Amino acid sequence: MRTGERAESQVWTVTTRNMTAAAGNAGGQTRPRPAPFMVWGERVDPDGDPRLIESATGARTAVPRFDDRTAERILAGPPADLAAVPLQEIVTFLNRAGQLWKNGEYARRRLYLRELKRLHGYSDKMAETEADLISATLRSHAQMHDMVAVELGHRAVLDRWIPREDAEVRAFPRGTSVHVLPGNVPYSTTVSLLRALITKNAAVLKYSAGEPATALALAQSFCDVDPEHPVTRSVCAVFWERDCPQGRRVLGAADVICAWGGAEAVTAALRACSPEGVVVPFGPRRSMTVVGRNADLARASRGIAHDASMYEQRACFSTHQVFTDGDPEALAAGIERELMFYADLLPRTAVTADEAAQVSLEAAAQRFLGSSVRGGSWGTVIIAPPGRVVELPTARTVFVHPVADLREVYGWVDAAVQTVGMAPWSLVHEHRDELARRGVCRFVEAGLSPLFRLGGTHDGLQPLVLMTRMVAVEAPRADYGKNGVAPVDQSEFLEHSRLRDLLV
Amino acid sequence: MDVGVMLTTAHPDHWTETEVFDYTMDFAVEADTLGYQSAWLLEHHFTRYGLCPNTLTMAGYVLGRTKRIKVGTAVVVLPLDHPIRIAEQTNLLDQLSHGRFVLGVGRGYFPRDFEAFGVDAGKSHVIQSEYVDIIRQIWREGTAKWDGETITLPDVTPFPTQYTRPEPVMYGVGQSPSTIEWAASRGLPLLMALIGSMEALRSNLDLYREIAESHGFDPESIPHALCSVAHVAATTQQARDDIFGNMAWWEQEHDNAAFTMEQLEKLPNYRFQYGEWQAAALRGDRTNEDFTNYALEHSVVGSVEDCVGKLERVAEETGVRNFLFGFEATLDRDRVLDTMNTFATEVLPRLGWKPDAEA
Repeated sequence: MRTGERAESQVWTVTTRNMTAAAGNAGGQTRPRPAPFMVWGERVDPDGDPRLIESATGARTAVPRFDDRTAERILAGPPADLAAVPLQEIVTFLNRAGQLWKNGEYARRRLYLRELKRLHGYSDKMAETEADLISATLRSHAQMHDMVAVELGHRAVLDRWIPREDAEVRAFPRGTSVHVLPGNVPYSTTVSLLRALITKNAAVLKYSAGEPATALALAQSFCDVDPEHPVTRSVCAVFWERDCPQGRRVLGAADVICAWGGAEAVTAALRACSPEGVVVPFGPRRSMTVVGRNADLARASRGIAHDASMYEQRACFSTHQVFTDGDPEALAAGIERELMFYADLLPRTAVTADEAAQVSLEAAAQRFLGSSVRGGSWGTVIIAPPGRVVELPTARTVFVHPVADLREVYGWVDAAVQTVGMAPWSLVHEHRDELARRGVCRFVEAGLSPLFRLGGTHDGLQPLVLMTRMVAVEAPRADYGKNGVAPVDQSEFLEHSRLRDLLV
Repeated sequence: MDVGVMLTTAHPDHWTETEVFDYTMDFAVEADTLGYQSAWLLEHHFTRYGLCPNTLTMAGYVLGRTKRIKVGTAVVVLPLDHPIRIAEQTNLLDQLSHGRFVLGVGRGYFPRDFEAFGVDAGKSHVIQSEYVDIIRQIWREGTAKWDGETITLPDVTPFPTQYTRPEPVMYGVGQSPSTIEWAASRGLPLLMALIGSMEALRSNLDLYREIAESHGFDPESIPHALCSVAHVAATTQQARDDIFGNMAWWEQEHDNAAFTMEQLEKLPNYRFQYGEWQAAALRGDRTNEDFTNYALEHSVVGSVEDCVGKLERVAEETGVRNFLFGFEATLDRDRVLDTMNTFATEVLPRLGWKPDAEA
């Protein structure tokens, strides 16, 4: 048997086993799990005619129908004024929620882990990692203040007027933010919500049919901390279908829409948004890694395996393609070894039928085209020229692209590339200018792609800037400013033009 | 809807020990007369938080003094005892009372109990789990034979066997997720404190439901109960003022006897309780009075209208229909009896509660 044949059969074996496991957890065999909406901190349970939504693994959830009544409640606005709450109080509240999430003896966390496994087929480890991420993010109080400081210029700028040259500025929330959330990366919900809350925006989390868990768990955990806190009363977690007129009304009334996911989600948000509203688009994007011939192969391979294993390549920052001017066989062997390591370290999520089909078809196509394909229950590594790629499957499928010169990578980059991982890190200095010019949003060292560092950008944007209005109080006449040596009087300057020359 | 009364045997300065027990019996008899469905006894050692060190013994006395009411333990601290003895005594009370006795079990929370009785607090959850399984095995199979992590027992058949067939209901007391999952995996109903947000309470019940279902139990048929201090007065403020000082004293007695933060930090099996301390600190609780205020906010304490509204909301949002009330917070015998009467005649009927027929 050739390597390729073995690889394909192993992939299918894994797929079948995982799908069976997923169906056992959830699937179509068990009755749908009921889940409520949370509307400004209050629960709305599904009635006798719920809407059934389904995740990629086939797990069904029964949620309320998004009707006029719910839409009206949302459109009426939150019962609390988050804009009036000091940032430190918001951050403290989030920290309290994060402390709950940190404790393994927190019922909501236990339920959340079960939901992630049911909805996404996550392994125990992956589910725990996701819950830990929520906890760590909500507890990162210093980083929240720093995010505000880095993006908005001063950490108190949401609380008071900050002197800035000849003006004082203060950031105000836009109002109500609507978050059209993706189904592939649960953590996106936490990030999106956090950005809204630390800029004092009310947040309507419109969750995806495949991922109701995170939005609901977060909104409910805020109730656990304090059901009447302004943060709790400023959050909704709801679902509506794409063509739902009530949903379009909510989008149309939003002051800011954070649209995550595919082009369709972003386009729909742009279409629904009012002229006064702002759309913050995240995705769709793809990511890659560049490995120089001088790289430490063991370290690079482990980093690539990590970046391809977290979220099973369903995230924008997940690497799919690895360009190298070194030995592609040695690199492929290294990645294979490390993906095997990761199969134990971070057991694989259940693979959906679509994902499995995509991997198998791409592997078959590549084999037909003469590429080297190695695979197993740990994933797939394909050595092929970049022009030969038909699709970029998920499920830990990594392409290794041999290039004679790393500058060839420039030709494979466009504005849809989000993250480029580098190994060794020194490569970044040589290539970042040209890659950035061609559209790359973010550079990281290989192995750090899911870690969004303080000060970094997201899809080329500074989201907090877009979620706030920066209002300025400019200096009065008596304040000369650096350019003046006398009171500023525009009329006098116009009237006596010589004064301008004398005084300014 | 079933309503029971908690008999705390708390010992304030102004009562003698004999008065504590005399009054407790008065409360039990009054509960029986008023048609409350159950009365529950608390086990404690070395503290005035509660004077009853043996709930099974006291249950026998209460059962003998009452005619109709069910008498339960909330709890027997299982790790301090022996599973065969518990099974024997439970069956004895079950037989003598014709099924009026209800066993509730817990794993303990007071460090001196573990120290004095020579039990490893770090294994309390394992001991409890094994003892519960042994007791249920005795009910189901008649044998105590067991070879477990914490105890080995010979193949003996305890007598008497149980009166209630196929087996008596056993309650688990606690609300940590691990306890909930453990109880749910065995279909044991829970006695839970009515404290914290409704969403948090619902999440406990949701967790129970998921685990119970996955173990083949119908969660809707499991009679969980919620416990709360209960007191009524002309206004909610008056009701709180009536009992605040006594509640603060009682909380202090509890805190004096319970695990400290430092002790909990070293006990992974009490991580939930550690988290509760942490949440209280982050909430801003600095004194015993702060926590008492928090507890009172969540208790059934107020005007008649407020108590009815609160219970309606709890019942609607949680689906729980069984409540256990601690009416003793005035620490005044006559007022406690009055409160029991007011609840039985003015509060509970508005929630659809009916006194037991023979009352």
